[in-house]
Amino acid sequence: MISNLILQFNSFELLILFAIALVFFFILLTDIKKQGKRMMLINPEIKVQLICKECGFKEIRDFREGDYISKEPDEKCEKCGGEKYIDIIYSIVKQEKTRQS
Amino acid sequence: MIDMTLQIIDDFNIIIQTLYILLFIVLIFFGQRIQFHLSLMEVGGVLRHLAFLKDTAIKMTIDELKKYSTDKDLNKRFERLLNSFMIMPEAADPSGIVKKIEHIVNIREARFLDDLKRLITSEIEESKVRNLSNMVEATMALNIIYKIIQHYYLLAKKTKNFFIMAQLQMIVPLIFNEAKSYLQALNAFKLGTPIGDSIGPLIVHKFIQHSDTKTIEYKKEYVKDTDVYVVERNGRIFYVIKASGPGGNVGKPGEAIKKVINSLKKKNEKIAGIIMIDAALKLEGEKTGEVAEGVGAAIGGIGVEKFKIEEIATKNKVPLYAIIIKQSLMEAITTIKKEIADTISDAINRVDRISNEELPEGNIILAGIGNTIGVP
Ligand SMILES: [Zn+2]
Repeated sequence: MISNLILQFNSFELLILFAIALVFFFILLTDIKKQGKRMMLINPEIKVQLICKECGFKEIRDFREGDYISKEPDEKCEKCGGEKYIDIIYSIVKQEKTRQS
Repeated sequence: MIDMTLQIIDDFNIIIQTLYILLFIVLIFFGQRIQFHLSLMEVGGVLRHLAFLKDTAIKMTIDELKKYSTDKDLNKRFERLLNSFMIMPEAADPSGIVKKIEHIVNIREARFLDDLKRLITSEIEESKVRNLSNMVEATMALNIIYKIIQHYYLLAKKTKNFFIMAQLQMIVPLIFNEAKSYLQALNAFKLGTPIGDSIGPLIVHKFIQHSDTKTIEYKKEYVKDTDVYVVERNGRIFYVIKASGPGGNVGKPGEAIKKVINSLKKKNEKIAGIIMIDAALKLEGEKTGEVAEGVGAAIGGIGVEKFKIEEIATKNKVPLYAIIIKQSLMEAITTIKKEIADTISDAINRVDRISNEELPEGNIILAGIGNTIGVP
């Protein structure tokens, strides 16, 4: 009876020790994962907003090499066929909810 | 049976206790050494990542250069460019040091660009050369970061100096973020998109293009790499200064402001004030794209242009106003974020308010400070 109790108690203690070790192990694992994420490079999406000179119609498309602000590319307005110019170029980074880079 | 189990448990407990005590002894005498090796491993890991970033940057830049060059010695020439350096003038006798710095910086810039142009064999636009030179400079920054971290890492390893290693371990996460920013910047320079730092030139460009603004005169290359637009808005005359775009270039706004003020003084015209618009580093926790107003010369860099602006403004008692757009280092050197680009109209409204309410009669100088990549 008594020995059984001691045995039980001992295995219980061991169990706690194991549990603590496991928790630490997982903390370490997530830490390594986080670090891996920090090492990752994110390529942002680059967008271009074009505005029609005639009717002011706005259009957003992907960036193409050679684009710059106020450039007038050979693209016609979908609404009126007028000439367009690049109003603004910007990037959107898909960010995670909480963590900041 | 029970007795034997008890005996085993007793033995087990003794072993555990001895191990505990041994562990304490080991930690007391060898704790620092263990810590040192852990730090060594961590810093070594970051160093390997830094080497990867640096190699990626070098590869990207060489690949881009190869598009415009058939030079057989391209790799060799590029390496020479990568390892070029600039020695700052002696500061023990600081009088007139800014002139000396300016001289050295000018030589360096000219030589750097000439070297790059010699490397390029096909006909390309000036703006593309500028973007390439920006790429090489970002690669140089990465190369230097890697070399310095490697230096301290090897030094600490060689001398088994725990305190060098501890300092290194504290600083490498920050350095790594910076290095990552430089690699991302390379992409922006390659494509020629505006970057966060371009917000100054971008705002003044939009100011000139604004429907209420009338351009009176456009002086291209008013001083080296810098344009001046004389415009009228709300009945006031603005001398708008920005670097010549759309290539990556910061121009010489200090020199331009000096020349404008001197020429206005010659014509006996009044100068109401100087308004400078620039990107500024935000503190952690501050919002990207926050606009703030203040006084003083809002310009970064090596200090030559800032010195010139402050000197000429002080000499002529011209008030200096600053509008800054806050962003992180990463945001400042990578493709402009939407939050930053959205500040344009706010900044223009602030220029209008300052010019209408605060500045006395006279001509206003408006300078957009920063790299004008992607902004003509
Ligand atoms: Zn249209």
